[in-house]
Amino acid sequence: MKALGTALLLAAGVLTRQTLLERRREIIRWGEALCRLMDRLERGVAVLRRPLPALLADCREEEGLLEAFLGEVLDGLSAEEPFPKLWRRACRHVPEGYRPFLEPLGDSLTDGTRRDLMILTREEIHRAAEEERRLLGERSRLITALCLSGALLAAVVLI
Amino acid sequence: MQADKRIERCRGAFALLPQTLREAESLLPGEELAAAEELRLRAGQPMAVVLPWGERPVGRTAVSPGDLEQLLDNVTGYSRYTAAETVRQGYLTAAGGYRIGLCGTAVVERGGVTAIRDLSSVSIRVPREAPGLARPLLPRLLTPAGPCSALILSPPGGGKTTLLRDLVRGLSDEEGLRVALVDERGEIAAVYRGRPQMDVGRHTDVMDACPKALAVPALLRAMNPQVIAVDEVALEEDVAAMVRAANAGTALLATVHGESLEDLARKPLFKGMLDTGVFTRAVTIRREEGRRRYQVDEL
Repeated sequence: MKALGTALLLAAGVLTRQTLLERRREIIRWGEALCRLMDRLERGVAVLRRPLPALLADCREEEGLLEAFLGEVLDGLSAEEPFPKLWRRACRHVPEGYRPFLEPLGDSLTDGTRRDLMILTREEIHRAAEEERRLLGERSRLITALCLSGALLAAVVLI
Repeated sequence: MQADKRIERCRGAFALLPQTLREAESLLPGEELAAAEELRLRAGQPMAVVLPWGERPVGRTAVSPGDLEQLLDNVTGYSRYTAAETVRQGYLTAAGGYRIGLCGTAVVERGGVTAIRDLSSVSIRVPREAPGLARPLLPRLLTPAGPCSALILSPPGGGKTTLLRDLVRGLSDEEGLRVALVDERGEIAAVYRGRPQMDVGRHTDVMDACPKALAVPALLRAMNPQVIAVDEVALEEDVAAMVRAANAGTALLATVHGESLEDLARKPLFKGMLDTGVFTRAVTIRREEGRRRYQVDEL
């Protein structure tokens, strides 16, 4: 029973570790997906001059992670909402760390004149994602140590 | 039937408006819907409809700057950059052939307008086609050797563009000629995403939003036209390009502002154009007793 209890506590520790690390990894994946979105928007808007709704619909199909974000944008376009407002509202689906970079695009994306802003946004998101990756490397060891030692301590105390 | 078509066209103009303004359509009686030439939206004032007998407001709700921005987003599908070249020149073309004029604050860089921001007024022109209008004139513009080069002249608002459009259509569809159309301001074919929204004929190639002096030689090189049609010749370089095209054996159709041939001959640019001998016919549009009359003269 003691061994089983210890095993369960350790499993809980491992699961907690996985959950915490997975959250960080998802933030990194978000950053990568947003960078790909920025690349496609820059190319589609500034170079190919493709209509924005079609561009966003294609991105939505190909980037599952951005489904809720782009879905809200596209719904807002269908409802003829002012673009800056609907873009900012849709950004609530994006991890908080990336929102300040993404939100300003709402004021200029439909004009297509701020290619520099699209490039800058991509760079900022990329930097933020790389910083998350660096922190993940550092924190994973700490998280692992905390979760496993916490589980062991609980096992010692309880059992 | 024609009235029904005109009403439908007017309704199409209302459909471009933001939702908050569309209901104003119900305030117009049928005869005004059929006669409407333009919708005018000015920030801070109620929308107005331009009728042949004048302009009058529609409803009491003032148009907001946000309404004008939303209109631009509606027309461009939230993709203003796709119409950047024409927006810089103060207009864009919507699906259905609606020509939309824009007024606001010009963004000027390096001596040229690069954008228009903070829209203050917008006009939506209801397109009009008059199929068959040119039919009685076509025989006068054709010889056994082929089509003649012809000038179409009238004062502003006289109907030159409408006549030119139907002449192009007639030469293309009824005579089977290869016509190249230079639609610098998007008023004749009203090309929207690559498709002419007005009927300009099956054998017509359209160069949209391109200055005439650049478009004419390009069309000559690329499309082997039998006729080149241009609207509103006003610059020396336009005339020069057309003379070169004529020397290559292509017939020309061109509209110019003028009350009469005599009036045209008083203007140095057009006197020079007439002196080249390139044009052998002139079609003068006059208003007599409320109707348009078309006089064809040999030059």
